[in-house]
Amino acid sequence: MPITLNEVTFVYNPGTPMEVIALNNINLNFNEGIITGIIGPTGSGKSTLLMLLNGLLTPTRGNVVVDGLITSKKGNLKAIRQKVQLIFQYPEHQLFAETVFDELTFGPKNFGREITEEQAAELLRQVGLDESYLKRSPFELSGGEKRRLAIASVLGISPKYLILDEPAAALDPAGKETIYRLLLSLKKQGVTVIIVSHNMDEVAYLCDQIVVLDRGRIAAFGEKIEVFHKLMEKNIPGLSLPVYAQVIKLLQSRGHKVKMTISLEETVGEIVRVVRGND
Amino acid sequence: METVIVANNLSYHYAAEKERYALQNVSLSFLQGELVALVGPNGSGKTTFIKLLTGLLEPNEGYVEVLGRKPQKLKEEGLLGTQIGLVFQNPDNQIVAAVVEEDVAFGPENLNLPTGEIIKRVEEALKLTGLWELRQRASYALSGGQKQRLAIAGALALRPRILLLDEPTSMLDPAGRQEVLNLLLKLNEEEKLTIIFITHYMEEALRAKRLIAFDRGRVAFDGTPNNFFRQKPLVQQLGLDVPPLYKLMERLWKEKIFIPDTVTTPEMLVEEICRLR
Repeated sequence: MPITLNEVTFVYNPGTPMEVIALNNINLNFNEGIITGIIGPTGSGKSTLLMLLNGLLTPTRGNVVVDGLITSKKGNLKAIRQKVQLIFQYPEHQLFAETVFDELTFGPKNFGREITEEQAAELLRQVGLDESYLKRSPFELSGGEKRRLAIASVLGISPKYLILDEPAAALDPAGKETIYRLLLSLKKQGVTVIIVSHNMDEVAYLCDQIVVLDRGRIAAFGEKIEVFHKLMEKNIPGLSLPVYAQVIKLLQSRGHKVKMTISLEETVGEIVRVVRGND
Repeated sequence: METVIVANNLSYHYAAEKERYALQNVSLSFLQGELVALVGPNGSGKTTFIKLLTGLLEPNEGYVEVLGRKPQKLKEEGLLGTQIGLVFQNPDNQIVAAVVEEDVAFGPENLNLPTGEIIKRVEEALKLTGLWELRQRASYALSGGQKQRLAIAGALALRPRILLLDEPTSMLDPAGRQEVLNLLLKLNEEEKLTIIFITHYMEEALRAKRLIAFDRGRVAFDGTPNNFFRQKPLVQQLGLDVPPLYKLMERLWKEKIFIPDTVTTPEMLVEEICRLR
């Protein structure tokens, strides 16, 4: 059973002058075994949605159900948190242990699991680091390495759902690429991945399914290509299309009959048709 | 064109890592009105270079001259900001006052300028950065892009001839990034400000007129962005990526559709496609 949101509304400071409706009557289904991207301008409710998924927040109205467990029930929380792991933006700021090994064993210990040195080394390999790192201090690693360590320390809990807020933000292109490879390989292993991202080209590349939020409501939801189709018609301030979709949209606005796409090869094909007058 | 910055044979190593140079034998010079992107992997020396240009660090070897003077000297005289404006990654760390216009006034006030002159400069800087309408706002209530423009306005109020920016867009959302990038292009185009910025976004680097790539403390490339992205092995070796728009142009060249390589935006590309038809 996946994660389901049923008519979820979330209000900050209800009944006070500071009341803000962050999410308004949301129905959503996060399917298993795929990567879902949540996009939307700043203030659209993305972070609130993330925090609802592992019970860090509970809905003001409606409910969130994880594998049949309702998040609003206190007794369910431990089981839910073991299944759903949430990684905030810049998780490397949360590193604290003296060695990489201690960092990796801390999380699982809280769920009653001991991690051996061998298992710790395996976790590091999953994120493209090796066992030589085990005895080092987390604080002497590079920015990209710290980010990967932070993610590895969560993988030790073997979550079924992994939720990440801007996992590649502020990394250099090589660092981004290792994060992408990691997420794609986790998907292959059957982990359900949900990411929040501001980078449209990143979402276009990584995700199977996309949720677009706009002022607390769902502006679009579905398969990646369908969603980008919708976004071409609806203009949501603060959201930009992937570069290839921008080119296609500009060609359409000039009266050319070109097909919407986000792939390089198909964009080339469409442009070739336009230039040769076959559109 | 006047040379505004000379960096001659610069080397620098941080005290803790004597054996590893953060920067090694780097010689570069910059002309008035240039728009330069500095790129390279984490730890390649970009930020060290900018810190040396502004006198935040002193080189172990070599020297820097900003408009013919040593940055340390300018700093001692409190005049560095009037020559070089410096903007960092996180706008929250650079905003000092609670109200937008007061924040911009902070720099000129410290120069002991007459009140009339301060008011004039604040107005000028706020108008240039498109923040004039927001001048009475609380600075904490601005969006990320607006905050970064405020940080730039604060630097501009000292009327520098050079603006150095260390990843000014990396903490912003796409709308904020666009705002800041457009502002930089405008300041360069209309005010002829010399602008040097560090970025990890290759589509931003593509918009610069000159691109300098750093690799392990040395200059690995210095030329136009398009010439850089043409050198696939080098781009790969540096762990950088080719921007999607450039990839598209390359594929079109293979199809014998010759888009001029001066194209840097989707709008320009579509303009060229329609012209070819």
